Amino acid sequence: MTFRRATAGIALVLGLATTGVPAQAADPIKIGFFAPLTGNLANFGERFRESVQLFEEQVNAAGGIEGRKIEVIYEDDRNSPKEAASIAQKFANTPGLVFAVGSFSTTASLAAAPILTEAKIPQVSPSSSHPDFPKFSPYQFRQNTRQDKLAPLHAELVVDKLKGKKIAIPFFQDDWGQTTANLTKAAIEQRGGEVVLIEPIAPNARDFRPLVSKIKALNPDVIFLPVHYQEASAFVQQLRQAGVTTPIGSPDPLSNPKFLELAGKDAEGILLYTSFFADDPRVKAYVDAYKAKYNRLPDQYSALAYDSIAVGVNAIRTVLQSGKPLTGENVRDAIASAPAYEGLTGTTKYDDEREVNKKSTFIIIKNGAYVLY
Amino acid sequence: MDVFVQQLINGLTLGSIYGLIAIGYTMVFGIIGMVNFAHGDVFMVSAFIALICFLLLTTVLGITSIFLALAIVLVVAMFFTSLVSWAIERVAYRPLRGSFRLAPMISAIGMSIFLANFVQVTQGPRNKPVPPMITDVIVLMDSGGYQVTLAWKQVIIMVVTALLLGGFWYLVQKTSLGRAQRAVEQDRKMAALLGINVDHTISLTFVIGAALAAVAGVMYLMYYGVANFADGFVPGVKAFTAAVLGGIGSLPGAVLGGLLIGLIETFWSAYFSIEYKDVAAFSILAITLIFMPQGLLGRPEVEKV
Repeated sequence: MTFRRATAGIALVLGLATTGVPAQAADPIKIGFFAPLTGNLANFGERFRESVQLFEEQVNAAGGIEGRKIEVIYEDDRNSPKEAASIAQKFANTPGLVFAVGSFSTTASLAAAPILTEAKIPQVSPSSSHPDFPKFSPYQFRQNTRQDKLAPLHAELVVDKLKGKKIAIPFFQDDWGQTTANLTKAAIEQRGGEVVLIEPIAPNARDFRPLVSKIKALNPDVIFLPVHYQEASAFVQQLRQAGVTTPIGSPDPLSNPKFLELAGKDAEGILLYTSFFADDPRVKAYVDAYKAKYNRLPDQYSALAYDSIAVGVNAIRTVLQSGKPLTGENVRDAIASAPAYEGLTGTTKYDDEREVNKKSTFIIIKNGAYVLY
Repeated sequence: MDVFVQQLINGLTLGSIYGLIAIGYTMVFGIIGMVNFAHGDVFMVSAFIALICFLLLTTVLGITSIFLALAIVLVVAMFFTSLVSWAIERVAYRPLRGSFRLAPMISAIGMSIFLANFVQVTQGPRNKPVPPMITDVIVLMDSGGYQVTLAWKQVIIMVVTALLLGGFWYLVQKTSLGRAQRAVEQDRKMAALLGINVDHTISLTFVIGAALAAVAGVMYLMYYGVANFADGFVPGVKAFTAAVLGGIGSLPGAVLGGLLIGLIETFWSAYFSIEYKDVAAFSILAITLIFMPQGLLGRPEVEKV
């Protein structure tokens, strides 16, 4: 069985290399999708899947790409590198699959990267943030702006907008939180601010009162909070209940309506930024369609996934229109050389390192809603 | 000084919750010599029962008095959690009682996974919030801009823990149920010969332990405002540690152990690194076990011949 599948895979690769026409013109164009759909990051994967499914339906309802339907294959990697690798293998063995969206974390995305690269399937991750991800091979792209490009924005938020001189940074204890905290600390110090506390918050932690008492004693002017919304909501509640009224600034993960629901009135006045703002009139069509289908507002992660598949489908369309054979290699080139694309989360124009640099919008929480700052 | 007092209050509150859960571990271990790994998840289930009940009372029935609502929630949560724990004992542990020593423990691990997954499937994987309740605080000290505050929630948690500990201490020491429990603990066969209904006594032990866990669950929900299917694990492990630290089988030991774990965790976070707070708490456990294997208030194991 394994042997037969392997030979089929080899035959396919050879087929791609020699004839360049792997699939019949009438067949649907296959697109791979993988993200954590179960496990503790399922919240994000679910957002991805919802958007990709919406996009798939919209494209097919409009007659497909150049008359050909698309078919997305959905896979759950549970944020496990092992799963992601075997999913990538499955994609590599699927005839006619020329593009993949995934995954949520750099860990899972990078595990799939070698296999996808070998099979010449371009991969767009909506949210992998590690600097090394697109460096892996010319087949890796992402939709989010790289972390170190965001640090000056954080310093601007904390030092200029919130007028902070003494800053406390409780950060989420993972790769993203640690890197964001350290880079932001450096950027803040460069602007003349002082970081008086930098402490981790463990995933799923509930009790922040010791940390809150510590912050209260240090009396900073601003708290910068690179923490995911579940922990962040508990933290701000305990902070405000202890009578600490220090203004809070935060990066984009808190631009999630779930945060407002969990933190309630204690979320008031938090200043943050986002690359996707649901009340923006430019994204109204998408937001309405999403709400009609899923009965909730899309968030930044939904929008990033939508832009990820849009970039791939645009490239597929370019290849088909140019009359070139539809292969992963040609789709990759089309993604890399595509003109600037105005998506939901800003402009996608890949540079030589396959990175984007999207503009963020500052928003503030007022009366239980996000409004433009 | 003021920060110290504040952290002391934080630590005692956290420790009280651990202590309440720890009693369940210690009583079950005392009577059947088994670590009930599902106890942490029973606690988590109780927080969900409390959450559902609280939301029903406040939104559907429109009860506005938060204290009345809390009192009803407490009774309902204690009742249903006891029922759950009774059922677990009946289904998963009692049939294995004559089996080899590890069997009920493995069954307990299975129950723990079952409960967590069941709640995940029925309630979803996200944090479920309740609206903040009883947010008033008492200002104890106000020196140089730093206010030491004691929240009413914290007062409630500490008072309830103290009252329940007193109540259950009386139950175990002075009532016939308590005597039966201690008899079963010492020698199950002899107790049976003397007319004690062993199965009944063991069931009741599970029910009492679960009722206390339910109190902890309600307090936890009130204090933190959220419940999550994964919430049983960490407090469960900490409470188990507390039970071992205090001397497993000893009721006051469980509460003392809980308070100590809460305090160590809090003070370590306050004066050292938050990253290493669990390392600190568990190191103290290891050190205690090396030098005092029976725990702080436990009796040394006497080999029965």
